Amino acid sequence: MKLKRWRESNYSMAIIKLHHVTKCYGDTKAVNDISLTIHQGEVYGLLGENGAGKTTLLRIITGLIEPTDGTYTINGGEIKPKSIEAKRYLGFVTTDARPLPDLTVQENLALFGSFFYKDKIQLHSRIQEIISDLELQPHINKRVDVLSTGNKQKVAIARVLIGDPEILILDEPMNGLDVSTQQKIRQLIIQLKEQGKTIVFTSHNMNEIAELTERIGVIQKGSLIFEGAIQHLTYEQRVPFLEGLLVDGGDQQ
Amino acid sequence: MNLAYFKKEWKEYSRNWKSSLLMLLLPLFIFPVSIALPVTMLTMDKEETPFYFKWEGEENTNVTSLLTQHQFQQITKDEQEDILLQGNANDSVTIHFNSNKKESRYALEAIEQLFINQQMASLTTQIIDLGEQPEQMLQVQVKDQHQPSDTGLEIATYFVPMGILLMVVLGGIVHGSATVSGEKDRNTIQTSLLLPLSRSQIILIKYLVTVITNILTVISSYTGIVLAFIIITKFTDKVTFDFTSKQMLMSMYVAFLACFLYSAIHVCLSILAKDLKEVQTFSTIIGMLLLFIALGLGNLLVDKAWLIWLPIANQAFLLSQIFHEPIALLSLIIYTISTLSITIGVVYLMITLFKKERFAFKQ
Repeated sequence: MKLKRWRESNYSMAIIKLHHVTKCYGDTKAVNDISLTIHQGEVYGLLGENGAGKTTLLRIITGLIEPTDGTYTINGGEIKPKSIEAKRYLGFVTTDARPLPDLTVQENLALFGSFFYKDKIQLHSRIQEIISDLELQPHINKRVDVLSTGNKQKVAIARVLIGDPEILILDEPMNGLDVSTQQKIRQLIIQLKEQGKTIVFTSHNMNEIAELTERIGVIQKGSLIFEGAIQHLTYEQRVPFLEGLLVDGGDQQ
Repeated sequence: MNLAYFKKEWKEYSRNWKSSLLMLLLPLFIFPVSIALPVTMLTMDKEETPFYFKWEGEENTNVTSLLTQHQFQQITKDEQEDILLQGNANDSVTIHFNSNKKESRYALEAIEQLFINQQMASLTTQIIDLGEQPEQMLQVQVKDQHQPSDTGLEIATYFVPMGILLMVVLGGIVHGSATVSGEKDRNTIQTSLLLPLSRSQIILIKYLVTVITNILTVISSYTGIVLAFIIITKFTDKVTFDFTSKQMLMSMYVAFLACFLYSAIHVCLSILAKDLKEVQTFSTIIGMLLLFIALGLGNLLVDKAWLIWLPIANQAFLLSQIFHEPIALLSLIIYTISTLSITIGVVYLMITLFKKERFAFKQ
């Protein structure tokens, strides 16, 4: 409730702010001096080729890794990065954080939901709500490892949504999905935006980004080469990225 | 402790039912087979082939009584004896045997073993070989030899430390090594790291589940050993197990404490390794090395009291000593302090390693 009140009065306030963030692995700069601001309630897109540094940047924001240099704040510094509170505040969907394959969809959601809901009736009702939103009813008692890629991705999103995070971070959410599942996830992002959630998502597909986001950041070789509305992306800025897209466009890890 | 994450870890452990079941059922099968079967067969075999002995001169009734209670039969005249005993004055016996005859050699070994086990300290024995080197006189002085007086005790002091420590190490390898590296393999480690829990909480819960599963393996191992003892005593009356439940409980206490240490070591290795395959190799090598150190030092230096201060080695030392003689409370306290100290050190290292991002997940 406290967060919702804050959201109503500070709609345009920066919810994630990165200040000259750098991440090095040996001599390689995976993220190079990136500064950017994401506002409360906006859908922000990160566009970049494979290995550009998008996932590393998201890992820094979610506290999985620490920047080598630079600082970042969440919710104007009210939420301490890497803290347990930050983990409740941010939901991260990535191919590297899969639902537990040996458990059923129901068991996965009940297990992760139990971190957020003490009351079993509330938890059950939340699970039903999410399963219905993501059309997972036919698969509820199936083990995750027997599901299709699209349904696994839906379970991964459901696992994160169950905690009702304020910021949802989606790393390549459409990767490997069929058209109808992609459309379902697009609708979900719009629905979450309407609920006032802040959404950051990465992609190497410019159309996908253009359809859903208000502002984008383009990352190339670890550096942020553009930030703003997609319409303002100059031809020169698009060309190298598009060339890279044509060569490398594929699965992002 | 976060119960939800504990439940998650426990569910994952239970789902891996093949290795879980193996670690629970294996000791119930392996100990009866490896202890009871050979012991029962050996003692039954001895009963089937009696040795024949004959007295010459003055008969020592104590010796006759001892031999006839075991697999020896006394004969009097005109028969082929395996061994000839000559009674002498001053409580001494001369044994004539023929080293060219297998039965005669075995009969001599059996007599020697009986004299040693019964601690016939006052009896002086002379042995004369009538075979290859006739008339060569050997003298065996039984006096002052200290050996276990009970075959059951020998079995327990040999098999309990070896079997239990082997299962503790194996349990560590099977349960501990998969805790983190298994998640790295399945790409679920970040799922855990993103939960609203601190990394210390996550790794400590993983460690706790490893300890519990390891203790279950040890309980199963003790059940297997007791089962073996029951089978042996059911099929032969030559072996008795004269232990108190207090000795068994103390032995279990030593083993349980060892579980805390070995689990911590294997969880550490699980964090350091990049995948399950790598950790299984490391864990097996290090686990076996620790086992050899424990058993080697614990058995070779069995009469060295200072061994109680030496972590790892004091496990095998205590596990075998517990059945021999009453263990001083101080020894158990020293063992507890030394094992807990080293365990706390390894757990601290485990938490530190897990907090380092390069070990927490594949880059």
